[in-house]
Amino acid sequence: MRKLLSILILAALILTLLPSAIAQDPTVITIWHGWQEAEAELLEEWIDAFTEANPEIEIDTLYVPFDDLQPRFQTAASTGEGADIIIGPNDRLGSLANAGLLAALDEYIDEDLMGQVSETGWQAVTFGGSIYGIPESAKSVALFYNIDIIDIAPETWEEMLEFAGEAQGGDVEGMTFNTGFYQTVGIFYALGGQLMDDEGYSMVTEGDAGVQYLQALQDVFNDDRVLIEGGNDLFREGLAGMIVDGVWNLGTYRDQLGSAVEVAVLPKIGDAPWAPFTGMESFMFNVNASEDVVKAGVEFMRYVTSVEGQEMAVEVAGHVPVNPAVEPDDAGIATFIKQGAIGTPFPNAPEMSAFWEPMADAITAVTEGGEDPAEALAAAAEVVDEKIEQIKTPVEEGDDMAALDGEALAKERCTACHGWDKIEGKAKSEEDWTATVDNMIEKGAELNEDERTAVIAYLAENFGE
Amino acid sequence: MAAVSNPKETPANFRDALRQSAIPWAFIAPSAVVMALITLYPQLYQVYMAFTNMGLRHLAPDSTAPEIVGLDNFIRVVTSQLAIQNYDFARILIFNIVWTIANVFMHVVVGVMVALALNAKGLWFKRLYRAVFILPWALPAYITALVWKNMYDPNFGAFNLLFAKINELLGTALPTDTRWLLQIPPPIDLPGIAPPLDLFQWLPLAFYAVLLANMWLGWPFMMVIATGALQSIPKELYEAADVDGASKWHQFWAITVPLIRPAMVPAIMLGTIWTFNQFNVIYFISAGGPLRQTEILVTQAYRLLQVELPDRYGVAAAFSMVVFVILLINTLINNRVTRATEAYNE
Repeated sequence: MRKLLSILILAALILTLLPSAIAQDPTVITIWHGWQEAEAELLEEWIDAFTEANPEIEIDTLYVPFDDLQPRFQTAASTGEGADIIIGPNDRLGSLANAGLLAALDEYIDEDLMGQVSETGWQAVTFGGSIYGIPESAKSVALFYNIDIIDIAPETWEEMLEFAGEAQGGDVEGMTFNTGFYQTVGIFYALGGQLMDDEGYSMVTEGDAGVQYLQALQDVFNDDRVLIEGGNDLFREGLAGMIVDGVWNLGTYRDQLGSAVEVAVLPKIGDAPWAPFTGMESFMFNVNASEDVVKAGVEFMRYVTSVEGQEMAVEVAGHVPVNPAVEPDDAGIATFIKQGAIGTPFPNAPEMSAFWEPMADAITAVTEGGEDPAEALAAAAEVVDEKIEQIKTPVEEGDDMAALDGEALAKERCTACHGWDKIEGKAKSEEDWTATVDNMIEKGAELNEDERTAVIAYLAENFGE
Repeated sequence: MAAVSNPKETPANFRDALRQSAIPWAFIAPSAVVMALITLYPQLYQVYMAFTNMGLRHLAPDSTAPEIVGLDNFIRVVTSQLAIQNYDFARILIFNIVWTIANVFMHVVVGVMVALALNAKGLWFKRLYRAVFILPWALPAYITALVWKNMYDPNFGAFNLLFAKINELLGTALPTDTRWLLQIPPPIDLPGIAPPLDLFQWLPLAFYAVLLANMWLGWPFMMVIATGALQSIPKELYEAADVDGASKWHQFWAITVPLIRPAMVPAIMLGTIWTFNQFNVIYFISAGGPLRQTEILVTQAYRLLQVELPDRYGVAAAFSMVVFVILLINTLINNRVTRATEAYNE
């Protein structure tokens, strides 16, 4: 009896373990994201649909608050860890790619996938000639309004303030206004401003646009017709008439307010359109992810950007599709597409990261602090440039130079055509070596700018006068 | 065993000494190894980092070792030469000291006052009060901080809503749109004097807001200590004073204060260190804002790790070491003072 029991238990054990022993280990992809509510729901639905069709792939997600996402990924990826994929706007892509933390995806993207995303989509995720992410949707802000409170959307800035004033009363606010840099930078562009020059340095103090922009924010801050930083709860509760907010909240607002929510293109500033940043929400791959994982992740993105996946995004979260084959008949999303067309492409230069805090502080200083816009702006521009200086230095002077081995390069590239004896025993000054190397490059020696410097440095040091 | 029975006997040589203490060493070893790994090693590593230009790019397994930069980081930290907006080391330090003194002073005053009230004869529900008043101290500071942050919300916070209700009921005209944590102009501004002499110009409304929140967190501790000390004062002293005709006020200063002092001084010293490093309240309520005006040293140290400096770890390590030195001085002074009290006690 006892023997029989042991055999039975053993058999049961083997039977339970067998399937997992035979079945292949699934490829596990981890995704970090800052998506909430309707967007989080969308992500789950994509994953469910995708993993059902591809049982060999498993996808784990982790919510990381939006503001923590990039710093946390940066630290983790630098130590060889971190999620395989992070979801974020393309403005982060440049600094992450520049730090060598993102995998270049060019070789994984075939023609099919290429065709599933619009041209502008791919442009937004291209940095230094390589593709570092796969766009999922276009993101920008527009004007949300509640038709129970505001009858028609304002066409101009003045109208917006006027309507807001008229709608005020009781518990209801006409408009809640977020003075954040991201939400309002479109005003700066409407006034003819330019953020950075080709090198990434600040141009905010050029011309009057910057000062006018901060002046406008100071005025609106002191304007009783709008509620400052009321947050989006008030609008969500149906207690505010208007709010400038992102497409990512479309789904959430609709869940709460139903058909009372309408979206309009942002009001004009003078004669020019309010031109907000138009970014691409992108899936970016960790440089440490294994090839299998990247391949599986790209397959997931093939589903996400497919007609089915994109229609799901439109329906569940109100996303603006990147797949040109999807034409949403939803009026709200159509408005966001229109808004995106007159927006300003979100810069993906690494220098962009130097702007956020100083500009946010300048805005705080002129609004809460009542400071002079010109002074606040000048102070911000100074910090921006100082930061950019620090972002650039180590990459250009420190690591790259150290990483290039002049000796190895010389032994490899110079001897492609002639023997080492042409070099050995020579004694020339740095100037002469420079002339020689340049001469050789003209004759076809393959050396880029950094390699050239490294080779010259090596030659001058070891075969100097 | 010989060593135990006669501790003064010195062993003949080192080896004997080691043999005799083998068992104690064996007992200490596991925790000593763990401590060395998780406490000592990181601390030593931090000292090393403070002298290098270590940044994110040095974290990768195959990256080059950071360069030694000598005292460069320390100089940049102390002379405020970091590309971070509104960073001024002297201002943060002075603010931190003002913050500590203001807090501890209020904690002690409120704590002792409540303790005296609860010590009054014939008070009902004494035990209940004592239990309830400890609650702020017993709750996690993080939770408390978040609750206070919400209470200061300009639009939906408890304070502004409360004022609105009072206005409604009593017809008063209290302001209902105060931007507690955001407003920049200082509420107290002495005319004609510039900082650092007029410290108030460095203190935005947010400072008073976090001060209030931390007061709420801090006084129960002082109350508990003061209650204990009060209960140990012999009643005869007060009776004798009554017979001599001393007023209550006089009795407080001549009997109560000197007799609770031995208990209060160490508590005050402890409170000073806690408050000096009160990360939770500052970070979760004002987040150092507006414009970094309520940043204290520890919150600034944390923020240094998140800024885009290419050598952020080196700088942050140097900053922490500067904070360490300040706290060390603080502690040495404390030790001095508390030892003085012990002498008084004897």
